[in-house]
Amino acid sequence: MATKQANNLKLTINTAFFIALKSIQRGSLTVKLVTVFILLLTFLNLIVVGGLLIGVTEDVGIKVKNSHVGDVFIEPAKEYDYIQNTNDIFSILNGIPDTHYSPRLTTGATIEYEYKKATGGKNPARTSAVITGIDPFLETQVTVINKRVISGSFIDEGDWDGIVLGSSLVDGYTSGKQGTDATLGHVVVGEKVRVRFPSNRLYEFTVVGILNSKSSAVDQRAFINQKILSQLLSTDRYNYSEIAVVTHGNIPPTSIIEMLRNINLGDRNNIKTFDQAIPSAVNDLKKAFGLIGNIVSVTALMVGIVTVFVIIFVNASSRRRYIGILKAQGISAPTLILSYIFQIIFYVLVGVILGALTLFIFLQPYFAKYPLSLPMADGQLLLTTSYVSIRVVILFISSIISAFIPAWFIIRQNTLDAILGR
Amino acid sequence: MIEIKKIVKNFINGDVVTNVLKGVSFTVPKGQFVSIMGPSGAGKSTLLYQISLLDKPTSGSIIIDETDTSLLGEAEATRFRLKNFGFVFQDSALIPEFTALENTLLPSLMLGDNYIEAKKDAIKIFTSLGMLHQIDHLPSQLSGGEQQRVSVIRAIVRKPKILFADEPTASLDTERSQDLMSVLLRLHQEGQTIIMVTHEEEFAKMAQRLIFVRDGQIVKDTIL
Repeated sequence: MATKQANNLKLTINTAFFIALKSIQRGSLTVKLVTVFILLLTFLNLIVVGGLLIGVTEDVGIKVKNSHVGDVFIEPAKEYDYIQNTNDIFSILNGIPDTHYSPRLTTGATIEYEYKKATGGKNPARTSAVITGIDPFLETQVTVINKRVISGSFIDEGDWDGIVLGSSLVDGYTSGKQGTDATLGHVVVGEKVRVRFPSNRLYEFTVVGILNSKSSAVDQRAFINQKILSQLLSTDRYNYSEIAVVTHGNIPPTSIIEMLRNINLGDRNNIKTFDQAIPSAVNDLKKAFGLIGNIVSVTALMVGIVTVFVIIFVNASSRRRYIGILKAQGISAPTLILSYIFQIIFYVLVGVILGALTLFIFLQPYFAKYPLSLPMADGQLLLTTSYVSIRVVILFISSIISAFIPAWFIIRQNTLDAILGR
Repeated sequence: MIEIKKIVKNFINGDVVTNVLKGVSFTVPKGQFVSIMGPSGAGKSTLLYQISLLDKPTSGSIIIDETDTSLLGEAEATRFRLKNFGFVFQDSALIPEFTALENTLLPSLMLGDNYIEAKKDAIKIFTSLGMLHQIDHLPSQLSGGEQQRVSVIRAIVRKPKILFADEPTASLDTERSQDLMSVLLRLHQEGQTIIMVTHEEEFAKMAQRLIFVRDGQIVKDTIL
């Protein structure tokens, strides 16, 4: 019984394949081209938009990591102004191979520009910013902000009155806050700015550079030497507001956090992985972009499968009489339905192959060379094997279903009605 | 042997019931060539569709070689047709993407016949009907008469127990019709059972037996 069924199945598959093969070989060229083109576009729509959005969100995260938080980010607990037990932290971090850290001191302050021209009750251009005191050498080992200087240079270790301004604080470098009260205006390298600290103490700096990291948390900061900031705030030289840690060795960030927490440093400090430290807005952005990508993919898929449905429906409807004749001769309904499924599998296969060639030979290299330049990231086409594979499988399954339904609908109709065109 | 017993076929359209076949009974022995004739609307094609299992009678039974076909489901009936029947319709209805030869090979493929052998058998018949040079032609490259000949080859290539022909000459001119009838007669001489529906008396009389149907009943059954 089982052998007979297996034999019947084999005959069904063979005959369906024969019918499909001949239909593909000698069917209408226009129908073939349109079907393949629609499936090619569906495939690209499924992959490209989502891939670009993933590329953007990944880059947002990468920029936050590389410009600010590193692999591990340490902040003081709520009840403290500064990180506690810094010497213990440094001693642990110093013992971990291939690991670097950058302790920073931060304070809120107001930066003023063209204050010498502001006379007669006129206010100078001013903006609030996070003034960040850094050790330039340590910072360059942890982040890439020194490489993101778009005008001038990064501050030197011995530079006591140099300041690097984030691009969001000035006009002319980003498309964001041009001409608003929230920026200092058109500040150029070499000009003087004045920082008014919370204690009302004023200090004049020379702008040595403007940086644009495309990470808003960094681009809204101004960077000066940590030693001068300690003095200006009259605080201990070893008081820090944040420590960014990067590791290139075999010890994962979670193990570093474990080591720090094991000596009870976790109670007095907030020790986070990159994922935990990433601003919630970035995670929200990731979710929103992911959702948009999915909506675009589903819409593309719906358009694709409806088109396949219509093509198969029109094709099967116009061949209803032939289908009736074949059924009269004893060609079973499953054989005829399977022949349509084989045809659509072939068209999807061709569409996917052409789509993959377009994707990997043209689109991906193009976006790698000319990424989408957004204010917060550079969007490349990010394609992982699982991302592409899942979408290819979805396209195959959806297309098979969308071919099966109209084929089944037409083929299941009464044989005699089909022959007589009733 | 085909035994048709008290076949009744009603068509129901809303409240209207049309009684097309009113208890038709007859027997067709193996190897007989039967013509079914009658005026339009007499029920001759409906009768052919019941015997050939393309439709189910409202009541009555059709027994073919001891198989009560009324007991067959849709899939079983399809399989039964595949194994036992050949069909020639009013127009050839060849699959446009298949060559003449490929059109005739589908039933063999479905039955799992050896493809090479099936091809050889088909080519033999093409040769005997003088169509060898057209086996690789698509239907669009064949004349109406040639297409109908291919449809006959398609119907007989697997040597079916019964060949059904529904108005096979209706779309052909006189010369082509006579040509086709000579093919059917040749098959009959070789022992093929044929049941043909036609409204053309000239061709109906070429058969061995003529059944005349009117108003859903057999009014005349003559051995010619």
